[in-house]
Amino acid sequence: MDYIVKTRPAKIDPLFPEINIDPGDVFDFPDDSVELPAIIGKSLPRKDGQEKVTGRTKFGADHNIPGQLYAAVLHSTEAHAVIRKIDTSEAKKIKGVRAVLTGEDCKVRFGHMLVDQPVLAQEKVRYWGEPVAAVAADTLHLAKLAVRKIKVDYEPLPVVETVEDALRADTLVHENWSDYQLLGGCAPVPGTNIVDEFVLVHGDVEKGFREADVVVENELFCSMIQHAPLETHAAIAIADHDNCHIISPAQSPFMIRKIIANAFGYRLDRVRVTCTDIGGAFGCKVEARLEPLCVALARRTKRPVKLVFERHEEFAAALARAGVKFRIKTGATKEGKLTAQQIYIYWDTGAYATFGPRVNYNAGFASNGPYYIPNSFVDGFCLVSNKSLGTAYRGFGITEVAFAHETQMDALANKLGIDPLEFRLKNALRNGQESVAGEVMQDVGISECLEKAAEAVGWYDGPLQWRTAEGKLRGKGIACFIKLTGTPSTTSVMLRMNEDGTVTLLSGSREMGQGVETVLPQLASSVLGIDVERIIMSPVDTAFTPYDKTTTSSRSTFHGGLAVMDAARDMVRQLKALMARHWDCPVEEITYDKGVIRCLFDPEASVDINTSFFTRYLKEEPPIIAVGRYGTKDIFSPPDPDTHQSDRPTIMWMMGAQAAEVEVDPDTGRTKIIRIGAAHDVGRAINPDNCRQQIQGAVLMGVGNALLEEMIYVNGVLVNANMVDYKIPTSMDADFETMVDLVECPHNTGPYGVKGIGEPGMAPTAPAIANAISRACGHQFKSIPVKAEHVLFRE
Amino acid sequence: MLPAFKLLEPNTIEEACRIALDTDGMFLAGATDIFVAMHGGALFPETLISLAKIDALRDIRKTDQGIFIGALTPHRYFEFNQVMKTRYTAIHEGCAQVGSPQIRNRGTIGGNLCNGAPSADSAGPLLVFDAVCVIVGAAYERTLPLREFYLGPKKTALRKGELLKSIYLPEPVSRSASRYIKFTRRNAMDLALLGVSAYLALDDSGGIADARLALTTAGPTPIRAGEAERRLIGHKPCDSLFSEAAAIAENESLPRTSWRSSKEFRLKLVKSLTEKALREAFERI
Amino acid sequence: MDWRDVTVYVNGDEYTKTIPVQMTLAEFLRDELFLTGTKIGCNEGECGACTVILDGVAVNSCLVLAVHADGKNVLTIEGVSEGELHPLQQAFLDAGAVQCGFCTPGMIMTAKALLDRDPAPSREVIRKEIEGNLCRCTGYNRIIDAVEKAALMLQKR
Repeated sequence: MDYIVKTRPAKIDPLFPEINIDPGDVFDFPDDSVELPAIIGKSLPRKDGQEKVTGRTKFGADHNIPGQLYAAVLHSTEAHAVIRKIDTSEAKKIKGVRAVLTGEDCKVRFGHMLVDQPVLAQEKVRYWGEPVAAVAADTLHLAKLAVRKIKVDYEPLPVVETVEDALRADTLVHENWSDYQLLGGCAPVPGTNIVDEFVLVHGDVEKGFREADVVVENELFCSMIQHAPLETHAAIAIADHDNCHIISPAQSPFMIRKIIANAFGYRLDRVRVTCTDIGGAFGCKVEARLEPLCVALARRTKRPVKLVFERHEEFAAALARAGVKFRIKTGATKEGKLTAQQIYIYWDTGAYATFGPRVNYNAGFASNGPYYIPNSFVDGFCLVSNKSLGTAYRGFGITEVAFAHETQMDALANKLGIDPLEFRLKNALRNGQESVAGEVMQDVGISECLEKAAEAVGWYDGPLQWRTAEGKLRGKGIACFIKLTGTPSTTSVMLRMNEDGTVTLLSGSREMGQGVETVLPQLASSVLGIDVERIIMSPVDTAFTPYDKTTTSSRSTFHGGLAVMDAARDMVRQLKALMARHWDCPVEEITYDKGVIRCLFDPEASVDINTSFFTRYLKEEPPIIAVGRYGTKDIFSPPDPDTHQSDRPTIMWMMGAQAAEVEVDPDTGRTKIIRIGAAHDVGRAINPDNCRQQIQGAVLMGVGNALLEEMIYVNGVLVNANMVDYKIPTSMDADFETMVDLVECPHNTGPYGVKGIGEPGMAPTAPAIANAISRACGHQFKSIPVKAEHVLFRE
Repeated sequence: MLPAFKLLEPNTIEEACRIALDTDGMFLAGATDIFVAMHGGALFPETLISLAKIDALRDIRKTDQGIFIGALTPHRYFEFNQVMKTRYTAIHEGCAQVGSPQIRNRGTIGGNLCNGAPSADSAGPLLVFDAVCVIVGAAYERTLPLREFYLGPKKTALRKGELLKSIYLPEPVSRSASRYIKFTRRNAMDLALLGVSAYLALDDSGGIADARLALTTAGPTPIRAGEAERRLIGHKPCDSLFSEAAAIAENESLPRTSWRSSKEFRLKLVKSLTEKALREAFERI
Repeated sequence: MDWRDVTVYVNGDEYTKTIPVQMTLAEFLRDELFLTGTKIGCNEGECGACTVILDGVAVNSCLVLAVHADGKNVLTIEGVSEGELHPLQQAFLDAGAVQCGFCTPGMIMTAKALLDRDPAPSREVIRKEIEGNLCRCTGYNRIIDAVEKAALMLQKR
C-alpha cells in the first residue's frame, strides 16, 4: 500500500499562489503495514561525522579573524554587593590594552523576556562570577594581565541564597522591576523576588482530596546543576554603531540576533549571527552570553574582539539549571485511582530572568506527569537569587517535575500496597482523556513505554527489592514524564538545487550532536527521492538562512522536518513544471515518483533525477529553489492566564518511561547502576540509531543528575567550579547497560508521525534511579542527587 | 592561559638545589598540580625550576633490601610495573587511581608527595610500606621516613633548597599483602574523600606479625593509625579483629567537615573501609 | 617575558618557533600551528579534550609546556590519517560514538595511544583508559564499542 498524504484544503498565499502554506499536512496511517519511504527508519551514519573524527570541525574557539583583539573578563568575587569603586588605571597603563570597560562605560542591558541583565554590572553585583569589567588587548596574555590589575571595592549586601530567602523578600535582588523593559513571557511582582508566577487550575483539588482515601505530601528538592558541555562559551564580534556581526556557537541564532539588536539599538537586519559548530549545548547556548560583551568591546575598539570562557569562568558565569523546591500533595482512592494533585514549585532561577520563566511555564504544564488526574492545582514561582543563572536545560524543568510527581507515585503505591508499575498504568493518560491542561489527548503512548521500560529491567522477574549474597541492597524503580514542545513557533527552510543536481538545505536548525544535519536531509530525500548523500545542510548564518525560532524544546525534526517536506514538495512541483515545458505536455500529465519524472502518455519521456538529469535538462533553466514553512500559531489555543487551561497548549507532547536497577552498598552508601531500561515514544524514528544515541547519552547525563552533580554554594560562592569538583560522569561511571525501546505511536501532524527525542532521554532517568535507591534502602529520598551520606544517614 | 614566569632548567640536582636556595623559584616536576593552581589564579610563581632535564631523578635502582625509585618516576610506572603489582600492590592501586592516564603519564611520585595534599593517592600506600624519603640539598643528602615528611596541610619537611631525590621502599616480607581503597563520589578523575591503605604480614602460625594502616584525607596530613596497628599485631586475623581495629582507626582519625563532605560521613567511611581493606589485604596473602 | 626557540616535530613535520615559556603545547598547536583539531575543554587536565601523543605517550597538551616538547614528536588528530580514515576514526563513525564531536579528537588520541601499546585491550581496559576523557553526549559505551571495533580492524591488517 502506498504511503498516504492527506492534505487539508490549502491556504493560498497571495504572493506565491502555487505554494501551499498550510501548517498541517496530515499524515494518515491506515494500518501498520503502511509502506514508508525507504530512507525513513534508516540508521544512516551522521553526516557531520567525518569532519568530527578528523578534527576539522571548527567550534567557537577555533575561529579567528584577522586583526582581532582578545578579551578577558573580571568576575565578581561577591555574590551580592554594591560596587563602591572600580580602579582600572593600572590596567589601562599596560601597553597593548585597547579598552577597559566597566558598567560605567557600558550601560547596556539585555534579555529575552525581561531586559534585566547588564552586559557589565551596574552599581551592584548580583552573583558570584558576574562580569564586572572587560578588557580587550592585543594578546590574550595582556588581556588577562590587565584584568588582574583592576581593583574593585565592594560593599557586601545580604545574600539571597535559597528560595526561602527569596520568598522572605527582606533582601531584594532587583530593587525595582519596573526599571526594566518587559518584552513578554513573564510578569515580575513588584517588591518581591518573584520574576514570574504560573498557575494551573483544573477541576477542584479540595474536592479531589476529599474523594481520596490516601493522601501523601512531600517536600522535595533538586540541586542546581550545570550543562557542562565540553566546549565552553566563545564568541567573536565585529561591530560599530550601525552594523554588528557575531560569530559564535549559538544554539538559537535568531534569538541572539533579536537580543543583541534590542540591547544595542540595531535594526534587526543589521545584526548578523554566523554560527560555528557547537561542542555541546543542552540549553546553555540558547542565551546571549559572551556575545554582548564582545559587541560592547568591539564597538569601543573598532576591532574584532574574541572572547573564550575558561572552564572556571564557565562555571562561575555561564548558565545553569535552576535549583528547585517542591511542596507536593497527591491523593488517590484505595483502588489506586488518582483524584487530585497540588504542587507548589519554587525555582531558584539565579540573578537574572533569562529563560527561567519559560522553564516555570513548561514545567508547570508537565508537573502532573502523564496521568489522568481530574483535579489539579499548580502554583509555580520563578524566584531570583544571588546565584548563577538558571535557564533551559535539556527539557526546561522536566526532570525536576518528574522527580516530584514520580516520588509521589511511588509513595502512594507503597502506601496502597500496589506495584508501582501497576499504579502508574492504572492512571496513565489514554487517548481521549482530558489532561490537567484541559486538552483532549491524542496519540498517547505512555502505557506501552511504561511496560517496555519495566520489562527491560525484568520488572516482574523477582522482587523489586532484595539483598545480594554479598550483602548489597538492590532495588528497582520506574519513572515517566510528559513534556510539551514550545508552541507557537515557526520555522522556514530553503532547498536549493545546485548546478550539478545536488541539493543544499538552508535551515536554522543547529547541529549540536543530536543529528539534525542527518535527519533533515533524510526527510528531504524521502520526498524528493534524491540520494541523501546528495543533500547537505548549509552552515547557519542569519544573513542568509531562513528564519527558525530556536533549536530547543526537541522541536527540530518535527518543525524543521515539516518545513523541509513542504519545501521538497515545492521543489517537486518546480521539477514537474520544468519537465512539462521540456516535454511540451501539460503539467498534470507529469508524474514524480522516488525521483523519477515521467510523462504519463509518452513512454520515452522519463528521467531519473539522480543520474544525468542535470546536464541534460537543467542547464540554463531558471534555477530550482524551493521554500518551506511551518508554524503552529493556528493550532495553538492560548492558555487562560489564570488557569492555564487550553484546548491545545502545544503541537506535540512527548512521553516516555525509564526503569532502573541499582545496587547500594550499605557500608559506604555508594550506589551503582546495574541497568536502565528506556522506552520513549518517538512517534516515528526517522533515524532509529540516532534516537538510541540521544537516549543513551541522555541517560548518563541523568545518572550525573541522580548521583553526582550539584553546584555547591557556600555564602554565595560557588565552591566546586572545576571539572573535578563538579562531577559529570566519566567512562567509569557508565559501566551499565541501557536498553532502549523506541515506541512508535505516530503523531498526527509530525513528519511521518515524528515526536521529539532530544531532551526526553534525560527526563525520567534521575527519578527512576532515585526511586530505585529508595526502594533498595526502604527509605524515600527527597532530594537529588542522592549521595552516599544521604544513604548512610537516612534514618 | 598560564601567567608569565621565568623558566630555569638545571641539568643536575646540585644546580637545582643551588637555584632553589638563591631564588624564590618553585620546583616543577610533572606540572599536573602546579599548572592547575596557576591556571586557576591561585598561584603566580615568578620562577619555575623545571626538573625535566635531571635524569638522575628518574633512576630506579634495586638493592638486596629494597628499591630506590627516582622522584620523577611517573604514576604510570607503578600502574604497569609487575613488581609493583605483585609486591607493592597498594602502591600500584593508589597510583593507578591518580587522575587519568594522561595525568599519570606526566604526574610524578615525588610531585604527589611534595605537593603535601592530605588526599595524595600515593602517600597512604607508601606509608604502609615504610617508605623513606631521600632528600638532597646543595651539598648533602639526608634520609627521612615518610611518616615524618608531612608536617601539616600542604607543608612538608623539605627545607629551602632541598629536593626529594628518591623514595626507598624496603622489600616486603614473603607472607604479606596490601590493599588501597579510595572512596570517591565519581568512579574516576576524582579526589579521595577517604583513602585507606592496609598492609598485613603473617607469621608461620598464621598470626599477624606486622600490620600497618594509613589513612588519607582523614586529617590534615596522611597518617598512620598506630593504635589500630598495635591492636592487630600478634593476633589471629579474623573479621571481628578487623572490625575492632577499624573502630580504633576511626578514633585515631581527625577528619573535618568541609563542603566536600561532613566529618561524620568520613568517620563512618574510616570504619567501614578500614575493615574492608584489612579483610581484602588478608585475603591476598 | 621569557622566550625560547623550540623545534617540535608535529605529525612528521618540523616546526621551529620562538615562543614564551608559559605557552602550553595545546596553545602552541592551536595558535602557532593552527592545528585546531586539538581542543581545549578545561585547560586544567580535567577533561582530556586536548590529548595528544607526545613521544608515544598520551598527555594533556594543556599541562605540558611547549618548550618541553622541544626536539620531540607530537601526534595530533590531524596526523592520525593520511587520505583514508584511520580504523579508529572509521570505527567511531560506525559505532555512533560521535555526537557533538568536541571530545572526539582527544578521545581518539587516547585510544590510539592505548592500541599502540596494547593491540587487543579488553572492554575494562578501554573503559579505564578513557577515564580522563570526558564526554557529555554519548554515554561512553559506544566509544568503547568503537575502540574494540578498531582494535579488530587493526588486527586484521
